[in-house]
Amino acid sequence: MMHSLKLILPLAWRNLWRNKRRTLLTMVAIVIAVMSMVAFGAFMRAWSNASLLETINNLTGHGQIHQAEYLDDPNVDHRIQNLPIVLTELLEQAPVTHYAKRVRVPAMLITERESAPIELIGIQPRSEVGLSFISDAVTQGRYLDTETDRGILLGEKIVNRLQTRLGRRLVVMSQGADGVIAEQGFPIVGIFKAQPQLEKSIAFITFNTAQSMLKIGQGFSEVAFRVEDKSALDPFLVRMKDQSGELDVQAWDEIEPFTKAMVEMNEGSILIWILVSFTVVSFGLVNSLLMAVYERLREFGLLQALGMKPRWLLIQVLLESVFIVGLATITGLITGILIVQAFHDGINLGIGANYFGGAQIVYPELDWQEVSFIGLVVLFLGVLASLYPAIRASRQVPVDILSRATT
Amino acid sequence: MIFEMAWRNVWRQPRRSILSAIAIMLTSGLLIFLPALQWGSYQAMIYASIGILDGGAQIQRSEYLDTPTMRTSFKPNSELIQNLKSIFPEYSLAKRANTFALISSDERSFGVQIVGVEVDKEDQISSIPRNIKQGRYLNSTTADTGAPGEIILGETLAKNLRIKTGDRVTLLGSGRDGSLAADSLQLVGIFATGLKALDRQLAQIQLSRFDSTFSMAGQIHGWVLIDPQHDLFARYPKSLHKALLPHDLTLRSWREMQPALLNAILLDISSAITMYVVLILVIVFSLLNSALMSVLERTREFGMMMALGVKSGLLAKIVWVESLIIMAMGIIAGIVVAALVTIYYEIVGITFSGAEVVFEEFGLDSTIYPDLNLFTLLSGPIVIALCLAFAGLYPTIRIQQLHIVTAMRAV
Repeated sequence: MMHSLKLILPLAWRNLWRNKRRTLLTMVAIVIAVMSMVAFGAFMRAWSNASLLETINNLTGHGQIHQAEYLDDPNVDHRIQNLPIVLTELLEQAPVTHYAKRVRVPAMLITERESAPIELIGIQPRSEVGLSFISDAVTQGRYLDTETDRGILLGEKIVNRLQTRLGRRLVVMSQGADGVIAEQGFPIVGIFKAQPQLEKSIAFITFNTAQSMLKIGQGFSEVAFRVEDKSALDPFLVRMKDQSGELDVQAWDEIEPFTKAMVEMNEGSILIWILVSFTVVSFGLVNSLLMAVYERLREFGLLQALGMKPRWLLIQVLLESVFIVGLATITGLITGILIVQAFHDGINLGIGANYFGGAQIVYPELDWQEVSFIGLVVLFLGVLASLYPAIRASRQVPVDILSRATT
Repeated sequence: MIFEMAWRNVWRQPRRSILSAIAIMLTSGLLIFLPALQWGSYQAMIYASIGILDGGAQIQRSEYLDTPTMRTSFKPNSELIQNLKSIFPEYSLAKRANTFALISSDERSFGVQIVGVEVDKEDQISSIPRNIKQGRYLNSTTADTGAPGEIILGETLAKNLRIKTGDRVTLLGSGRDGSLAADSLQLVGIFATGLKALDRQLAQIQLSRFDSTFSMAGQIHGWVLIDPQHDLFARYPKSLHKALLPHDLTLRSWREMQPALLNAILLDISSAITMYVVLILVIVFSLLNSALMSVLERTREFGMMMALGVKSGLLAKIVWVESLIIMAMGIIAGIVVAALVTIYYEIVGITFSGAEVVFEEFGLDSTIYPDLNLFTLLSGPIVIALCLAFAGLYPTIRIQQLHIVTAMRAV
């Protein structure tokens, strides 16, 4: 068995180069297809990762804790007055890297001329560093310095709409815990840039100022947290949910189901692309293998007449196709990887990306598991497709063929 | 004669020809069905997005896009109306006024967007009159003085305010002249647009009520152009810009009012085109191979024919026509099959189950109807045909280079 294989292996390899041009052309088609699979896969993942990161940075974190009714009705009434000690202890240790409490209520911004509804967020300035985008999104003025800073941070878009500017004052109105509308003046100390939707719809003051303005004592609306690694999230959530009692602990994908759905759709589409592009390639592959078989029918007949078993003919043709597909796949993988490396510095997708909930700049990234998956799938499907020509080659009756003249 | 020769040659290797034709059929079929699906979903996205509130185009003050403030308003004077009527005889115009105000029920207060609308024209622009879940839409006539004004609210907003139809709400905001604006209104209807942001933050009142409450003195912020054809790519005549310019007004189509939507569509188109280019490249190389082989294996035959006096140019033409025949078969089959499949789905729709969340975000339900038109039907196949016809020239170059004697000796 091994001996025959030793004989057939070089035979198949040499047959490949009997018609160089054909072999190379067949390979080119496979190379392009494999290359596109690797590149598209990396771009899709870049896109998914970027939207995921964007979602997590945009205040969502890896997860949040709320009072049970808060997400349905984000009102000051639905606040957490005391965070149970067990939860605080869990948040203080690994795998949590960052966490912060926030007051988060609907409010109205009023300048001399204009008014706009926004979401008012009271933050602990130091705890937000590393947790959300805001600490390094300020482009004019400054970030909230101390826990008792009396200023307000606004997005550039809302500043324009309100026809105000850095250093001016405005009034914030929101319903306090007592049901009465609370009003307070704030100087604009900083202006930030972010996703257009966020820039238009949120404003930041400090946690302490928000608490006193809304008369909620030590109460707050949410806790956002971030863990070391996404894989640590699920077990951590289980522990949190066990201890949360009446509070609502949710992961990012429950809070932002849209991002999750987009990520899943991307994963599906790369599989579809592998299948579609391979189907088109396989026709070319089968065609050229069939040609290679037909022009050698006489030779196959002769080999059989000399005692070669049909099974070995089949293996020989299959080996030829393994060589073609294998070489082409490897070349395709390498070119695909090189293309991905070329875009290492990121691609700017423009503001349309925000509409789909993603980031504008994405960084393609290789997943070796996916690269090897593509290689194996193409190799497998390629050999599957060449079964037909191989079977044709082994089914010839020697006498018929030998007695037939070459065309 | 060339065609007959080529036709016969095509069927000397029926299996190879048919395989090539099937590959072309699949590719051109994909390049019909997928663009039709894209086209259909883009249209649904655009209609969903402009059909809820904005309309397809609005006349606004030039600076309204960047600073949509209370004072960026204009007076719809009668001379301008006459002028516009003569430019767009079949269009009508609906006035809109927008502001933000604090809305309060007994228990709760929220900042909301208030839109003043011309009630009897709204059902031609917006889906809100059709999506009233409780109560009714606004009355088109102003009630007698003394009767309470009417307001309608989004579903989530009404829920958060903890009110139901018949209850009273108060509005607090500032008027166009900077004065304090306050009003007490009765909730007559609750709507659900399907877009969370709107259901949480939108309220509509009659334009006349808006005018008096917010001291607009007849000024408005936008004029929605009602196009009876709902043409998304309508072109507006130069005379329109001329008429609007002296009033410091411009016409904004949905493309300018919703740049993110347009950019999202362009992004999707460009990523799809990359995929189509790769598909076309793959098919071209696959077929180039078969075509080249069919020439090389006939080298002897060609040498013989040339020895008999046939010009190599004629042989080249025959070979080119062969590849054109195979291509034509594939493409025609592709067009027919893809057209049938697409038309079928155009009627029943394709439901992307499991992706509801994604579609909801764009105000769509998860069934998409592909849109087959001359563009989606023919552009893909035409590009494939051109590429293949061009690639088919390569084997003919090989023929031109043949030398009679060596060719005849070839295996």
